[in-house]
Amino acid sequence: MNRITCEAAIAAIDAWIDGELTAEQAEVLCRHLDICPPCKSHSEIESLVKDKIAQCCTVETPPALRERIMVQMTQISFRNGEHTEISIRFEQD
Amino acid sequence: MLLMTKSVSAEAELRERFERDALPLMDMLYSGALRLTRHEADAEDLLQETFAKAFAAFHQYEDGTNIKAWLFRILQNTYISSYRKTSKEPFKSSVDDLEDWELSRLEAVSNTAAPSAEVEALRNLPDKVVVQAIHALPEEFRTPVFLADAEGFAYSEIAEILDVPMGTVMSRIHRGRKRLREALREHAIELGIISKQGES
Repeated sequence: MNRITCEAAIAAIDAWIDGELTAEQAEVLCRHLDICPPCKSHSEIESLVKDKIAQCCTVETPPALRERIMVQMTQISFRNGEHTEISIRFEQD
Repeated sequence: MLLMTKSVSAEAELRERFERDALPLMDMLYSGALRLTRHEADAEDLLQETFAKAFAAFHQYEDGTNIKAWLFRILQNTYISSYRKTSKEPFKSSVDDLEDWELSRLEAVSNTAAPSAEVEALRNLPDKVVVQAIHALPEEFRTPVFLADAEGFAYSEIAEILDVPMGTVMSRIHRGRKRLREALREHAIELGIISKQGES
C-alpha cells in the first residue's frame, strides 16, 4: 500500500482540490488525510480558500458596459475589412 | 454578386456564432479584467478592447475548440500590452471600512481557539477582505489562482492562457494560495476573530 509523507501530502493538496490528480493519486492522498488531522485540516482550509475566491471574484458586467460592447460589435466588422477576408476564404473553398 | 452574398452570410454566421459562444462569457471575462487591473474603469476599457479584438479575430477561432481559454488568452495579452505598464496600486480598504453588520458577523466567531477556528474565521471573512487580499497578491500569483479558483480552468488551460509551463502554473498556484491563506489569517487576527494562539 502506497504511503506518503505529510510534505508530499501538502504539496498534492492543491492539485487535488483543483481536480488535477488521477484517481490513484487522489486515493493515496485521501488515505493520508484520513489518518493525519493536521493535513486534513490544511486541506479543509485550502478548499475553503478556493471556494471563497470563487464566491468573491465573480461579478456581473455593468449593464452600460455590456451595452457599449454590443454597439461596438455592430460597428467593428464593417470597419476592419472583415468582408474582404471572408470573401477570400470563400473563393478558396 | 454571388461573392457578395456569400460574404454577407458568412459575416452573419460569424456574428451569430460570436453571440452564441462568446457573449455569454462576458461576466467571466469582466471578472478576469477586474482581477487583472484591480480598477473598475480600467477593467471596463480592457473588456471592451478584448471584445473588439476577439470579434475582429473570431474568423481565426476554430469552432468547437476551447472558446473560454481563447478569450482569456486575448484578455491576458491585451492586458499585458496595454494596461500592465500603467497598472495602479489597488484601492486599499481597511477594517475601518467594514460595515457594522460585517463586523457583527465576525464577532460571532471570535475568541475561539479550536483547530477549526481558522476554518470558521475564513468562512466568515467579508468578501471585500478576501478581494483585498487577492488584489494584494503579485500578479504572477493572482492570475493563476483566479483562473483556477474563480473560472475553474484546468492547469493545462492556465498554462496555455499564460504561456508558461504546467510546472510553473502548479508552483504559482501553490505559492499564491499559501500567501493568500497567510494574508487572510492576518486579516482574521487583525479583526480579532482568531487569536495568535489560535494559529496552528
